[in-house]
Amino acid sequence: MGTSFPLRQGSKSDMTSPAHSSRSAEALPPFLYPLPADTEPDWLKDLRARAFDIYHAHGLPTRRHEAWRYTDLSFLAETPFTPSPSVTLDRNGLESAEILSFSAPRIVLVNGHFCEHLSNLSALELGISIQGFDASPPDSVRSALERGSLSRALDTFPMAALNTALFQSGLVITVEPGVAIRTPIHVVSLALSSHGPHFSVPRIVVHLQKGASLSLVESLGSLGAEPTFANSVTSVLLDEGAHLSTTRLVRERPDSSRIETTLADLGPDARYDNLTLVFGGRLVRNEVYATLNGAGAHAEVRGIYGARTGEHVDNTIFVDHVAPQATSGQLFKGVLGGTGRAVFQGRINVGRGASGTDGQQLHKAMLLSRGAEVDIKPELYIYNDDVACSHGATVGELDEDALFYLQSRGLTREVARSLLVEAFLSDMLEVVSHAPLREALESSINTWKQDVLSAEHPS
Amino acid sequence: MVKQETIETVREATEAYKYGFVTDIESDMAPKGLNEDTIRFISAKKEEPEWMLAWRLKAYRYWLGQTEPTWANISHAPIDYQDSYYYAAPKNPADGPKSLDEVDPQLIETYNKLGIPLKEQEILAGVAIDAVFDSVSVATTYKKQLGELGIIFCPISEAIRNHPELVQKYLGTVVPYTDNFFAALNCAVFTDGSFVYIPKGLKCPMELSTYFRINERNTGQFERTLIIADEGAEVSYLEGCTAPQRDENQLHAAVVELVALKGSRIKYSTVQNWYPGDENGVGGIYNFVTKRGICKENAHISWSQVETGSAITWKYPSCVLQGDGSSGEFYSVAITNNAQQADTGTKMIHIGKNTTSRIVSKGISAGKSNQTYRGLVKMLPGADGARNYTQCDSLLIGDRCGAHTVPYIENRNPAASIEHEATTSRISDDQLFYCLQRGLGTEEAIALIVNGFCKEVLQTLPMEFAVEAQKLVSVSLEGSVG
Amino acid sequence: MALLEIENLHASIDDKPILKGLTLAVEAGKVHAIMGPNGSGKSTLSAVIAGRPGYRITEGTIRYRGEDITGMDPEKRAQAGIFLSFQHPVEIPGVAFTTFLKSAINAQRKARGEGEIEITEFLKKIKQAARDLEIPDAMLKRALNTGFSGGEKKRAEVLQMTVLEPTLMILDELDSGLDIDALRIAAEGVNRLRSPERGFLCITHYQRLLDLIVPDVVHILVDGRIQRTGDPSLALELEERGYGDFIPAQAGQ
Repeated sequence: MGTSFPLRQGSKSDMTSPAHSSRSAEALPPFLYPLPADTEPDWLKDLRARAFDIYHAHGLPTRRHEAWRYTDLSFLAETPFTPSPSVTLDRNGLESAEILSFSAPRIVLVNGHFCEHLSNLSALELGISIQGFDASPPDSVRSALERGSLSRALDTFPMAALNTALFQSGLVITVEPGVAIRTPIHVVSLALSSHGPHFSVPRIVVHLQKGASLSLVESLGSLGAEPTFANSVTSVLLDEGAHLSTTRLVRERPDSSRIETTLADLGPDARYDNLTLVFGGRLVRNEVYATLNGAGAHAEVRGIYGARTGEHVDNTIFVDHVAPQATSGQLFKGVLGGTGRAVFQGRINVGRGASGTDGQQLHKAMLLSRGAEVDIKPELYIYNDDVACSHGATVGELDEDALFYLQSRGLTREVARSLLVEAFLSDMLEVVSHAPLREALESSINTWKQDVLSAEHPS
Repeated sequence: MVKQETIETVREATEAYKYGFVTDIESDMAPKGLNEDTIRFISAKKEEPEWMLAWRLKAYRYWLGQTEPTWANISHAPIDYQDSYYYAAPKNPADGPKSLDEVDPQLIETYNKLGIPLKEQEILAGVAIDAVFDSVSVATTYKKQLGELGIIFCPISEAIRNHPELVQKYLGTVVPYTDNFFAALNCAVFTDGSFVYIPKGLKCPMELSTYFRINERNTGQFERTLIIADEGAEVSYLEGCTAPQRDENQLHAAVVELVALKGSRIKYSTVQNWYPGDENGVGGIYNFVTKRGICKENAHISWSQVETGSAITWKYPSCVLQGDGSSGEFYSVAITNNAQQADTGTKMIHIGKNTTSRIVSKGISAGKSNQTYRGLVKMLPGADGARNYTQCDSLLIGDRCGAHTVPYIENRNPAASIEHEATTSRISDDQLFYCLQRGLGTEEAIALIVNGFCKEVLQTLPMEFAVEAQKLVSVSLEGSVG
Repeated sequence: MALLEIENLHASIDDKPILKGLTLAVEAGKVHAIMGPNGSGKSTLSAVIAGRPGYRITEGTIRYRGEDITGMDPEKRAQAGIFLSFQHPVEIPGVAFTTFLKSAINAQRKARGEGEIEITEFLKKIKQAARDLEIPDAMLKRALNTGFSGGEKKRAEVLQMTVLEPTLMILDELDSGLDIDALRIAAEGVNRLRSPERGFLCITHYQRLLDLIVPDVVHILVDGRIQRTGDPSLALELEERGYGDFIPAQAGQ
């Protein structure tokens, strides 16, 4: 334990920026400002104080921290990031971002701030509430933020702790009991640099009440001429029998970075599907923690990623089986070109009480070029004998025999390569049932694939 | 390959930990504790040359600045390095035994109890044995016959005196004193161990074997083994370990270095059965071991281990596949029961082109024990055409134990391929009932199923060890059900 | 006294009643066939006689050679001479068939207070039985049932039965998954074991097995009870008319 910063005793002027904090400006780890106003309710102040202490003691993760041994954040500390101001964006600005294009109710957040004029919520169905906040979150998020598993998770996820200590903008989505929302909701969350490099700490809270279901689509990216760093957290609370499906596309600009942490708590028979596509960004870490707290819960965490020269993609997944008879699956596929780097860390934890657990995990990576690097750490921690758990990992290159076969049928090597990459990834989108969304995702993958293949073999 | 039927014929009943006796022999010991004087004492006792002492002191000074690693999935009370004896030798006529006839008859008796007859005429044909008792190698058999072929098989203390050119050339080249905390400690205080040199192109005609035994209370055992297979040579080496039953924990921090020169083959097999502590976790050996081999061009190293003993096992026999076309294997069975903890696995570092490695790990956790497989497969940019295959299976017996799998896979070469599979399960009710229906008791059925689960690994062991290992599997699991 | 006497047996799995007052006696020297449709309780019957865990006996008794074995451990029953030929023999990877069989023989000998079997005697026995059942030597060296075909598995069951020399044999659908040649070989193996001291309970769907292992008594099992008992002609009658006529009026409602 490091020294704890006296958040509760301090006056507001101490808190807003380290520049004003006379006693420990030097000691503060990066990004730990500006702190929220002192007028928040006690429960939130307590939570933030704890989160502050955790991040303060831990600091910005380094490669000496086991969970970060393959992902180096030191460049973030070296970039002169300042907190993102509350800025707005016009329609043309939004057009220039690489977001999924399909028709659905849309909410746009810029640096975490809700932009009403870019959002379109006219077609919202009954039973869902979507609320942006600027400053403190509404009291309705209390149950999600204070949920034991999600609150305890802060000890393990220092970047989520940082977000918790600071976030002052974001979105709350709630679906009422028994309501099945049929059309997907599209959340666009962009980091925008306006005056130099900016960092932002947006927070999204999704709470599906008993038996509710929702399909959430997220386009995450960045705009502007300077680097951005989004340290974003989504809290997901699924009550009994609720079903949330999250499909997420992350396309960061080449000098922008994102650490996207999802903390999910699943009640009895709840189901959480998370499919995350990452294509682009100096550093993108997709960190998903799903705790299966109710019997019969199921979490399916999947991902597709690509990384090229100058890009680093990290998928770190932690599925925690607490309740009995719960099941989980992890399936990730990635393609690396140039000197792209990828990390996959997947952990399945099976607790003492989690009998009848079925937990499976598979990661496959394809390296297209010399200089690319992938580091994989699949972990099983099992404390119950009534389990069936497995993990598998493969790393290889394009199958030369298959390439030759296709070429012998008259295809050019480039087309053959493209086909094989497509075949490698093709089954991953089968789980997306909404056809327009699937097509939008396919088109994103194709764009990326053509870019990376032409970079490998410039014609 | 071991013939199943032959194993059957030699199979016999065993009791819980039958190696837990103490031999009452007068010992010559260094004062308790660790400082530069202890190291000078050891070095003087061993009549070492100056360069050896200098190296030990360098290692010791480095060690002083290090802290114990904490990344392994084990927990224990802090080890007091000053509360241990670093040198204990059975008292002997001044110069030590010249032949077996001069060895204390009680020592011979001890080894007989362990099932290791030292009298050459009693030895199973084809196995030469070096026996290490606490800190000292007491007898090496078949030395003369091997010597005539140019094979050197002797205590490392003797090699330091008699073959300094070989020792100086290779000692610390595979595991340098800066490698890790326990390796540094070993470099500073190691007392004995085995040295093997197989000359160019020679296939060692017999299995070489070392038995290690800790006898004295509060002694640490820090043995050091160095095996060099010159170009085109071949050797199979066996290592066995036991210790008496004691209430306190004893530290064992060994280092093993294998040097496989061009085209050579080294097979290193271990049956580790140090005292594991009692069912409540009192006593037992802390086994912190660094084992590593380096493979030059087209060389091959195969590690096989059966780990059933020790309160704590921390051990990762590894291969550095430096030469093109070299290959490494790691076959492991680890069984933990009661309160045992094991964090074990391997590292395969692929440097050369077309290097291959294969890892087969079978972990069985029972009682309240916890076991972790930890492995690293690393493909460096030059390792074109390299391949790795890893299979890690864990079996849980009972609902109070834990089985964990933590592989690290690092690939920096697109033309290298890695396949990794891991499963965790328990013995199925169907399998158990099938055995019971044929009249087998529950414990016997479990031992049979577990032996089957481990078979792929057990059959890589040389004959004598395979028999012992099969028995150990059954014995180690006693009391794990019911 | 019959070899096996089952009296008013009620058994359930997960609180679902399967056997509902089954009464049956198998005499030494006789082959009894049990025929019944899917779900009638045939496999449950074989499981509870062998003592498989997971079944709850709520009423009734099972007596073997006059002794109540209702709550006896499965290995004790096996050691007493009850052998179950499994419908789906279980695969045990890594355990050689011969190792397994030898362990089983020695466990049973030990229970009888006898010493271990001589290796030469064992090998002689197993090789003779294997020849009779047309089982190649190579199969004996393979892991138990692992990768065996359906026919190989069943012949391996009969081989175990031959070598273990049990007194009461329960054949749970010996014919399932077998082609006619393999079935003939297996059935001949069973017939060789018929003797005045031994009793057989032959559970099957089909007449074709009973052409090869001719029973002395045929029972029709429907809805957890023996609905009718007769001579071998009953099986032929069943073949012609189907189970419909044997379903009691209150069942199926």
